[in-house]
Amino acid sequence: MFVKICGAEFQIPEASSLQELIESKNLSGTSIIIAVNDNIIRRELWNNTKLNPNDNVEIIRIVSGG
Amino acid sequence: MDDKLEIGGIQLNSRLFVGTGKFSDYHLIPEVIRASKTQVVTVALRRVDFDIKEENMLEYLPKNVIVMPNTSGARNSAEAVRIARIAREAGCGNWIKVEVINDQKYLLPDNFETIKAIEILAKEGFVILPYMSPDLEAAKRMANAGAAAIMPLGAPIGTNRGIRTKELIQILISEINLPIIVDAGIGRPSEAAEAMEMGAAAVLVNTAIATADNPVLIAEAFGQAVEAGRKAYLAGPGATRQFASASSPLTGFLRNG
Repeated sequence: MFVKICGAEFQIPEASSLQELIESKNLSGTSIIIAVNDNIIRRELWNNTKLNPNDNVEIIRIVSGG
Repeated sequence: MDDKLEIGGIQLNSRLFVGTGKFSDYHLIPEVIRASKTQVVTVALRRVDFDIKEENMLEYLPKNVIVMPNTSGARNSAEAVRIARIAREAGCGNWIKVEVINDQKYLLPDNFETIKAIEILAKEGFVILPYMSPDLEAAKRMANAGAAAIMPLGAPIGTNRGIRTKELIQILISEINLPIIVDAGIGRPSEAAEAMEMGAAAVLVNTAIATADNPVLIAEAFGQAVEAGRKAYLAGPGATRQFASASSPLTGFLRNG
């Protein structure tokens, strides 16, 4: 199925969880924030949150800035 | 002397806010915070780049500073509001620097979109510190919309040109009943002192510290300059004159004849 991740279209396996998605991108979970369709998903729910086709996923981090 | 700055119910001892951008090495950030004695730092929110392994900057921030995300990247009020909501849900607290910029040459903020963002965010309980182009009418509307302070620029971001908008900022200080925090353009500690002597409530400095040869030393200087400028303002400096007025007695001179 197709989902949008950080503004770009990606094809991922059906019924992927957020945790699986992060692992597939080699990301460490400790410093990132994830929003699905503009709702922040808490870390403890990543394993149980399944993505749906056309979901809009933002993977965000806090960075330095003025 | 009890001269704390109150914003959003928090009493601050330091009137210097520091931006965390542009440092050559994240290790400098906690040292700059310590040397400057700042209690408020700004951060930004960005999408993760899957191809770059980045350090987690948050690990370099001491637990006792207020972390104020900015809405940098927002081109309109809707984008600013979205970033603010994500920042708060991500655990950044409820302080937000609203920054809405469409101009890539001067990075001057869009006051109109900023006002709209404040109107929405104030109803959601944010403590809003808007970055703005100094204009009295815009500042009044931001204050009425629920801003906790007003942050007019001294000069464009990153230019280190000092307080080029001095007279407009002086008008805001006189007429707006909110803390006025000069943000952007301050290039030297003397300019931070100048802002404080004018009656600014605080200043926000980023580039001038991050790009100095010795950021930690200049951060200490900025902390001292802000304190000195504030004391000078509170002390009520003497009047300026056109003609000289002698400082030593005019009688009893040791003269022949």
